[in-house]
Amino acid sequence: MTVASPGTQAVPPVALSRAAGGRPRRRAMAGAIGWRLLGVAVFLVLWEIASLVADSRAVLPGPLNVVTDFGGSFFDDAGLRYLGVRSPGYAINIGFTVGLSILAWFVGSMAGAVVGLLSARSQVVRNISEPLLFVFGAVPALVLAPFFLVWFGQDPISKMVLVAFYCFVSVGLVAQSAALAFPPSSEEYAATQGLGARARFLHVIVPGTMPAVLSGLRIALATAIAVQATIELLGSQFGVGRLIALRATQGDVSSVLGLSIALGVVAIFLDFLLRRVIRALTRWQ
Amino acid sequence: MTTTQTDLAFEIRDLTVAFGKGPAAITPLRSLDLTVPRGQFLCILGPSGQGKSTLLRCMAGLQSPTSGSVLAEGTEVTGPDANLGMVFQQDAIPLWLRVGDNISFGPRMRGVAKSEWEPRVRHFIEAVGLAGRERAWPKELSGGMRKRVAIGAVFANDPDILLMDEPFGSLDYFTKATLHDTLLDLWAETGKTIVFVTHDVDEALKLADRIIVVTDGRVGADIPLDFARPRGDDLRMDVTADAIRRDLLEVLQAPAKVQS
Repeated sequence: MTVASPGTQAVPPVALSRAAGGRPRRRAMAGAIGWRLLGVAVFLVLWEIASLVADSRAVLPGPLNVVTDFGGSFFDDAGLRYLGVRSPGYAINIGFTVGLSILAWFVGSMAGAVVGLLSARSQVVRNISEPLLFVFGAVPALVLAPFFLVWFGQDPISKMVLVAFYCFVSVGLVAQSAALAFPPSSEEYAATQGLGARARFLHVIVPGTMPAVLSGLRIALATAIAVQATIELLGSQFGVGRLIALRATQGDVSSVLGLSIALGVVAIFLDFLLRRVIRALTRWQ
Repeated sequence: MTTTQTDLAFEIRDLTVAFGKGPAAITPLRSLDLTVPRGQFLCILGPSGQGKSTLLRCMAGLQSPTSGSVLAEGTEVTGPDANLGMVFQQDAIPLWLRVGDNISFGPRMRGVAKSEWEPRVRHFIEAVGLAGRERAWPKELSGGMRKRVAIGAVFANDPDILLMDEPFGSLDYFTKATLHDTLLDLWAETGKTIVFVTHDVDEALKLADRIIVVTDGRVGADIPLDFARPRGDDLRMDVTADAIRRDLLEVLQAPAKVQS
């Protein structure tokens, strides 16, 4: 009987597949992408069939119609320009919505993460802040948005403040939960290595809770884009929400679908990029 | 030789720790007295829930006494300190640091000059058998190897006193045996004071200069050992060791007998 030598390195499955030239892993990835593309293709086919059954572009345009209409308005739209819309092209408005969302998401999420992690150190701070955060964080954006428009006006700053607020709440609560659940022995170990409270926070709590906080950032990004588009529906000079509201009043279902799907695709792409960043930052996990 | 205060790594007087108040209070330590000479390898034995981990935490400054005092090298322990290094039962090393960064964690964070800590860290990486694994993540290591990282890290930080709370409790027999040898080699090399909590009598007999048994919050037995080192499996055949083992088991089982 062969006895394994003590302290033998555990070999993770990924290392095994790498050792085999990575072919099983690449095949698995290709398979996953293939299934996703198949899912999308099936959805498009079903959509086309449904539009043929509906037999009315006004009710349910097919995917080809939507893509054609979207492409025609991508850089400019004469109809919207006639209505007095400044910068009517879809591209610039998508850029506006996504750009503001990202900026507000970054500011709100970073503030939320810092406050969330710090609040975990103080029961008094948590007792004061939690009721307010839970109450206001639970109010739908469509309810809070009119107040922000009245208080801060229709300019982009008011929308950013609202988006940043929602990101602040969601990431803050995730960060706080992560810090509270963090194993105390890890921080105690750092203390016995001679780290003071500030060093323990920066070099133990922050990196140790990073996976949870980064997951919160992903959720907050999707929320940010959705909230930004939603409040643009209520009143805005620019943005996808503004265009969706105009097209809806015109009964242009094709454009509404196109703009909504485009925003969703951009959100998926941003999430994909963020996941790559998260994977690089948490490769130790 | 007269033991003076400066010869003592620890001087613990009338140490009491109580959680809660009134009749429902839990008192894991009751007026415990203990002295530990410098350079001694002390094992603290005891059944679960009898106060040995609480005692170790008081010595590490992680638990404040309700009354009494804990002096480490003549200075009262008021909180955790780099001179009181600790190895925990659970995995407590930062998982986001590679092996090399983990072992150099303490001196780097304390601002020690790189020229001072680098040779020490390199030495202890080799001493714990992790040479060539400096770039590995903890997730890539087995449980035994992560314990090596923890031991290397605590020695590399150069405390005078090492406190170990059942560090090998979750490991298999062979891994434990190898780590015992590694720990004893490092102790012989550095001459540090080690206080080692365990519930394993054979582990204590192999490692310790002295064994104390903590039962019902007090020192129930205090047994010096003078077996020659290194101590191998032949210790199991030693008559004196066997007698000590039986005495220890009797003391350890005494609270259970009282309860039944």
